[in-house]
Amino acid sequence: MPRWLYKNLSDENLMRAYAGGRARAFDCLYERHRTRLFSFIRRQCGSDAIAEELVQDAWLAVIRQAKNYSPQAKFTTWLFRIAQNRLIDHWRKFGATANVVTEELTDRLAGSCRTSSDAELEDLFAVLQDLPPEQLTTMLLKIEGFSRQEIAEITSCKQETVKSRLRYAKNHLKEALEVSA
Amino acid sequence: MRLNQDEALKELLSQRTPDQPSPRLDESVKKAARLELERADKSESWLAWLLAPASFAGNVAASVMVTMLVFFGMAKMVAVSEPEVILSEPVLLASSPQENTLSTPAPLSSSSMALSSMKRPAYEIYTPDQVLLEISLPSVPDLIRSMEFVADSDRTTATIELISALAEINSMIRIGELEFARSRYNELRQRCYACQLPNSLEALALAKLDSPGQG
Repeated sequence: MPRWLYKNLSDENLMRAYAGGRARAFDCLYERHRTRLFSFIRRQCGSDAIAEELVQDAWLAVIRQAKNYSPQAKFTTWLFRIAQNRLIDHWRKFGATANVVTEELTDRLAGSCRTSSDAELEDLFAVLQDLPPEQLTTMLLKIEGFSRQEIAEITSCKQETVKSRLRYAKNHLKEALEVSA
Repeated sequence: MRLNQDEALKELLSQRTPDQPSPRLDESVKKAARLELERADKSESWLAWLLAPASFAGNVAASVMVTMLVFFGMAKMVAVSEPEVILSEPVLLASSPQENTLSTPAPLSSSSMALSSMKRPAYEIYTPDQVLLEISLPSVPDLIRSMEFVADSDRTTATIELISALAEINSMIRIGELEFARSRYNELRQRCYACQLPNSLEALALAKLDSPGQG
């Protein structure tokens, strides 16, 4: 199959094509999601090396399960769920480290180029440090564009839980920013 | 509060150079994907090798059965003499068409058999693969015209779904990836409830063929 055609296929069909023996289909699927998945994990764990290890594990799980893959959910939901489970296993084993979102904020605020919203971002940073990991994960998934239902599937919880985590996280941020304002 | 938290986070994260996995990771994942395919191929070929004797025996048995069935079937066809009698009757009655139509149901059944073999429905003539390869799918406007929608929004949604899905399905059929085309069609059926599409892609193609004014 020509390469351009793979690009037109949905994720689910690319998985089927890969399961049917077409390696290029997997390449295309990997290229499509490599950055997004890596960023998602990287922002929740301490180092590039750990993120790479977890992401590699997630992709290997996808590869191993390709033969039995049946699209009951969107491929991305499935992929992110696998990766998130790897991350949770890692946290259980080694404990949750400071998330990278806060590191990014620190880096940016430490830079010379400060904008008018920097003060607010600084407050945001302070609040983010206090957010429990599951609330941060939920927020990151929301920012990645996943729906509540998809976030619920990825994080293995009910939609109501997702809703409340988002509400808690937002309220937490809002209150903190209002106080500082 | 002037700053929307979601937006702030999004903006902040986008300002940073996006995290990229290393080329080493890319390489190792893609290599693992290829190795898994090779491993699957090898295990399948071993399985085929192991099953080959059984398959051979099965094929021989099946061949013998088919031969016997054909033989007995042929013998039965040859033994039955009634069709010859029936076939001879229309020739005799051909000179008086009225009489023919009124008094000879048996020859009519024979000729209608012949006619029915000429006008057999498409699903009997084509295999499922041939249906997809030889009969083009209906166009989106034709499909939309043939559908009934409760609300205009359903029509719009259906149109969008059909345009993208049929383009993809037609591309797949053109290059002979019929299974992908079928699975994409099933996906379309699940996604677009308002479309009320036939059960299979073949049925969709044949529906076009069977609709009035189509060949």
